[in-house]
Amino acid sequence: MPITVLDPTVAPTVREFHRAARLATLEGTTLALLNNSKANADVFLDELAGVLRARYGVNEVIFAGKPSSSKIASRALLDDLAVRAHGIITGIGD
Amino acid sequence: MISVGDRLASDRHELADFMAVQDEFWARGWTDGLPVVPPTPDLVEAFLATAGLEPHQVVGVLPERGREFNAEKVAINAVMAGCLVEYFPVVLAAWQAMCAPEYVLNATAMSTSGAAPLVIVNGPIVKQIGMRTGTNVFGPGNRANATIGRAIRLCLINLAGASGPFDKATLGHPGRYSYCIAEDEESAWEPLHVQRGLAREQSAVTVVSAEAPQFVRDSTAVAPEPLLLSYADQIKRWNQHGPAVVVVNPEHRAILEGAGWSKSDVSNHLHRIAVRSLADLKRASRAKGDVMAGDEEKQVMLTARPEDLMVIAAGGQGIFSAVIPPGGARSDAVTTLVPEPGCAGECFI
Repeated sequence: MPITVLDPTVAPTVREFHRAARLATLEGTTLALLNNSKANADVFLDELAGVLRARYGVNEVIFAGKPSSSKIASRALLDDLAVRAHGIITGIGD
Repeated sequence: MISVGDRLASDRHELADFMAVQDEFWARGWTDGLPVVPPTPDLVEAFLATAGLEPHQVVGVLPERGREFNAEKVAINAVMAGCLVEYFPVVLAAWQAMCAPEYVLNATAMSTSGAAPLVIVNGPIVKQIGMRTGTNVFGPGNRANATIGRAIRLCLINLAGASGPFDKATLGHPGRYSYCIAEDEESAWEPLHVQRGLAREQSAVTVVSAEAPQFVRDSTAVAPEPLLLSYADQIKRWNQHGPAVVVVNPEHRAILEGAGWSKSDVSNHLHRIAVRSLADLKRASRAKGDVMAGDEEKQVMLTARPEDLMVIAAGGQGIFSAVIPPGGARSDAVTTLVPEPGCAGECFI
């Protein structure tokens, strides 16, 4: 005998969002690097900053961090970086 | 006329028979790998009626994943887990506790650490629904313990999306199928929910993100200090800080209670003695760097605060107790009230 069952899942609600305009060049820009606070993220991002300056002509690198890799960056932090930097680089992982 | 289940908003699937439900749910990634009770509209309505909740009532959110959880979805997963209707308020309370920001649900559910939410139930509800507090408390065989814990796992899979590519547990542990116990309140010790500010006659759920239990075998100690050395010996191997659980069996409790030690006395003492030298930690690759002069004398505490060690009374006769390491991710333990079965919806919100 057929059984009617209910879907147990919840789909995410995706809010409308717009991508910021892409940077035409990194030359002379200020970039923010958002550290996810995992072990050795600072080592990796220090190296990345050097590459960005030497190879792509980035003018200034701002280092920012989250208090815990387990928690999302605060709105205040992101708003502040959005004003101070042309772009932000972040990532996920160990 | 509105027939049973018409208020429910979830998509419906008509499947040929019981085994077709198993195959379809497994193929869609909606199970923990074990068979599920088919979540039919009439069963889900019965769960909601018992809790006095409307299907659309929101019982939790997970902003990082853009998700909102209503009572209907939690009920569906509780049905699938095999819960009886009278267990549903406990499932709801546990899920609400896990949705509190301080629990850090997203990270605890998906982290490589592979922790699981340990659900600890206190208060009159424990006897009302026949939960196990004694012999084999973590083991199989009790319907309430088993299915409440399983319902939480199914909620993690189906509501929080902690499955497939998003569950990154390096190993996971068996408690990720079901990890739910109740405290033995016949003990002279103050129950956990009373320690956390509630009244003894209230029912409550405390959720703690935790690794698997580590057993503490001690059949020789007859005084608190040597007994707790056995516990500390396990704690010295913990991987990270955070709220943790110390499960003390009746024989060990007799030693501690007999000497007048409270739960806080146990927590404070364990915090103090669970130390290793920095040199020892470095040799075991648990701390960075080479062993330096003075490292042998530097003592490192393995727990951040005494209050992180939540001592509970549980288990049966025997010489085995357990310490349960923190799951990490800066998660805090969260305690939530469980309303009496049949309580109206406003009790939850």
